[in-house]
Amino acid sequence: MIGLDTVLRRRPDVRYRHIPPETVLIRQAGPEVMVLNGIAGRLLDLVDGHTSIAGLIAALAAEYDAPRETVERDVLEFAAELLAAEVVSEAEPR
Amino acid sequence: MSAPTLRSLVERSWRDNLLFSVLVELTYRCNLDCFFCYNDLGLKGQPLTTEQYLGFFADLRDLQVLNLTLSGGEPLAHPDFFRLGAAARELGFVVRVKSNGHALNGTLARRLREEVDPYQVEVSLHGATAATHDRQTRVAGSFERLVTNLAEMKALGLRIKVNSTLTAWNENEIGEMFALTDRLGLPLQFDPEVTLRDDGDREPLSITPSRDGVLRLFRLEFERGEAAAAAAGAPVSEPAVGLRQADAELPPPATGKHCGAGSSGIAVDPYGNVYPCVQWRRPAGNLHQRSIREIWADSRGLADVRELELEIKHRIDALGPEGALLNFCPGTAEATTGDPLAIYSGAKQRAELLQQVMDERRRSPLRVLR
Repeated sequence: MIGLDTVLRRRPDVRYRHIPPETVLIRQAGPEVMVLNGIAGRLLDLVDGHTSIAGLIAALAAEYDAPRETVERDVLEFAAELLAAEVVSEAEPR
Repeated sequence: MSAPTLRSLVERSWRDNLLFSVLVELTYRCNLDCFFCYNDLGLKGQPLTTEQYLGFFADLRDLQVLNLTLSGGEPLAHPDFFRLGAAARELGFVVRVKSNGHALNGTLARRLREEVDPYQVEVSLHGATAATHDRQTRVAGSFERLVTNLAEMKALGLRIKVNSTLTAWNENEIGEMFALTDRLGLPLQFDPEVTLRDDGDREPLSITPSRDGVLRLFRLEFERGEAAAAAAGAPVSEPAVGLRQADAELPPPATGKHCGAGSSGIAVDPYGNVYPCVQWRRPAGNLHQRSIREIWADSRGLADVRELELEIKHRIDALGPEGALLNFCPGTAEATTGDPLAIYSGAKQRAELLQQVMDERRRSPLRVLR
């Protein structure tokens, strides 16, 4: 279950590029091609294996100048989808 | 999250000239000597240095290029292949390696898997027997070695695709070649057309497959496609007709340009010459003189190709359903006739034979029963 303390990392077989306003992503092991919208693509950039979901929300809220509640809802939703699609995994607790 | 589609994104890349796929011929050196090799082995120039390649790859990353194909010659014959492959991985490309597979024994295959982690390794098979395969490669023992290497590569978890060009020499072994790759658990894709060498040499055309050979291939591809679709409960699709394009696996956009040559893809030879596509060798610039950013933005050659792509699309569409069966390649048209708009004989024959096989399948009672 993803929470604000969860830390995510990109899976090593994930490759992606930003083609604004979209991001195209391929999971080599799949292989599956996905197309993400801009904010989901930016979220993928910020997933670094160190920053918590709360940190990602704060960063995106500042970047997009959006209400924290809206960003929190979107990030939790995107993160769950990315986790289910095996694009990201939960990082080991430090 | 997934409202935009890959198709719409590819359409946009073709329409807006967003560089997406690059094929790099690292070297023309090779450990085989294939009779119909299309490389221009007499081409002169200053090879790009490893440092130049690394800078070029970084530029491609900044341009948001996703697909990077390392080709040759034999790309593993480049002295810094693994350094370049690892850099490509580090820069986040979807890396494909087009290799003859001759050197990819267990040790090198493991290095490839661990250091480069390619999305796919494309390997060439020229026949179902040593006699046929080795006749093409002109290296004794190359068939046995390739079959051994393919099994090892597969066991190591490399994602392999086997490519074959249909020729007069292997056209009687099509079924056996499919049987061989089926046994190995690998996909096999044929290209039904032998092309000129990039210097215009027509010698490879002497082993152009016969009309019956192409017909046999298309029939078998349809049968296999139908059987696979029936097994999967999926609708029957047209057979794959081989392409040499860097972005051949992407879905074709519905409107705009004929293909992505020069609009979303380019090819680069070992001397830094940039072309719209590996098959369309119209010079568009040289990386010794200008960066890829400058070439992509300002090349007169690429601008001309982009205009031609609109015209070709218009002309092919005007042909109706037959146009879709041509699998028309403007690069092949320009190489064989001098005119990128000319419908060359190979495309005409392909459309005619595909239509014949499609008509046969429609009449087949077995197909109705499936």
